Amino acid sequence: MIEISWPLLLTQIITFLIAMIIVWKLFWGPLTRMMQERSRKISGDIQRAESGRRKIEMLEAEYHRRIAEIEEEARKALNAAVHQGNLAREQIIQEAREESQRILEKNREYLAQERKKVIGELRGQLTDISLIAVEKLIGQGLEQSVQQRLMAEFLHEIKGWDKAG
Amino acid sequence: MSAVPESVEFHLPFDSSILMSALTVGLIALVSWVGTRKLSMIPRGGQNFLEWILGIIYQFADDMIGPQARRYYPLFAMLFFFILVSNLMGLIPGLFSSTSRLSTTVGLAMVVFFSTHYFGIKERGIGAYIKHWFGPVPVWLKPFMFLIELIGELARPLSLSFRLFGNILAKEILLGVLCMLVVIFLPSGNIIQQVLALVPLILRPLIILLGILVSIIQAFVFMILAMVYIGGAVQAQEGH
Amino acid sequence: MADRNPALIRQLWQASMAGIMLAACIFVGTGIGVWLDRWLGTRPWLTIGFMLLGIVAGFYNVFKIVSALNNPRRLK
Repeated sequence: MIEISWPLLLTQIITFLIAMIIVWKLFWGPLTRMMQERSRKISGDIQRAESGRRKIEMLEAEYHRRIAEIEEEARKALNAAVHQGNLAREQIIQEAREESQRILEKNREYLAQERKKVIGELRGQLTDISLIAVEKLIGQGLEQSVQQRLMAEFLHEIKGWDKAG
Repeated sequence: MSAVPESVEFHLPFDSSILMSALTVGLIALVSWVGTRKLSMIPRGGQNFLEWILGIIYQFADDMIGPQARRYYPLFAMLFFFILVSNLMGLIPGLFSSTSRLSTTVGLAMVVFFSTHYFGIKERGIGAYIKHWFGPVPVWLKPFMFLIELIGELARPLSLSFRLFGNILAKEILLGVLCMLVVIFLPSGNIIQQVLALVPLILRPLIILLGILVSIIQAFVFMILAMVYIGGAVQAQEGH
Repeated sequence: MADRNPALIRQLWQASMAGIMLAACIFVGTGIGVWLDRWLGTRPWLTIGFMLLGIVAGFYNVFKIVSALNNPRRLK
């Protein structure tokens, strides 16, 4: 146990070295290469996943941005349409109001004209009738000048009606 | 010579520690074969286990030596497995650890010793390697420095081999002695001695548990120190 | 395991070696001395001299380990 036997020692060294070479070549070497390969692959995969994730995030942001844009546009278009509609409504109402106003005016004018006409006619008739009545009442023909004066007075009075009416 | 009487060594024409070493190597090869039979990117079973242990060894080697550690992976892995399996084999009745023989441990220490200097010269060139043996001292001190470094270098394999040998032999002797105590006490017919025999009987499993721990630790220590020495030799600025 | 300090681990292992290294150095020194004495026939002198060298080497190695422990940067 304590003593060292040199042949034994050499045999042990050779056993160890040969075993190391054989076991490494046959088993551990391929395994180690596979481990390294895998760690390389995993780091590559992680990198790729990372870049993929970043790309997806970018796309998502882009997508959100686009949606927001579209929404904004739609809202603007809607607002514009509503505004336009309001304008159109206003215009139509305005036009209608103006139209009705015009019709009213026209009618009013027409009425006034009619009235004037009627009053004119009535006045003529009244003058004749009153002259006849006065002639009848007096029974005699008045002098032309008196007739004329009376006429003027009467007419003046009727004008006063006209103004009052 | 094993203290355990059931040992096979009495029936062999050559020293049985060779047989034990061969058995150790065979076991390692068997485990490795089972573990690497179907190599796949997604490890399972034996491959997982092997990768786990090798991964730890490589991690330590990388930490201590740096990126060039890859070249020495085979040595470290084989040192660890050989010593571990060899140590553990001593716990199986009928077998013993070839690492409980000084010839084996000195052999392993010499492997480390020669590897250290071989790799050191290979990595740094013979001139630079010899120069660091003389240290940063005045010229008249250089011969002494060389002798001191020489003694230090020679002391390393000595301490390496004796520690491993001592630990494993102590474990084996302890187990053997406990075994013999049981054998002596139990059939004695004396009731007191028979009760006393219970103590080693109970103690033995505990020592075996301790032996497993010591086996792992010693294999680890040997490997780590080999890394320290080789790392010191191949790195220009660090170590000595 | 990523935050492990490799230099520290190395020093820890070496520190655990310090005591054994001291003994081993003295042993190796004395052994060389005895061997040279036997070869050259200078009976006690080389043994004594190399034993002293072994002691110096032992303390030198311990000192190196300890100083490396105290200051990892100053590793020679």
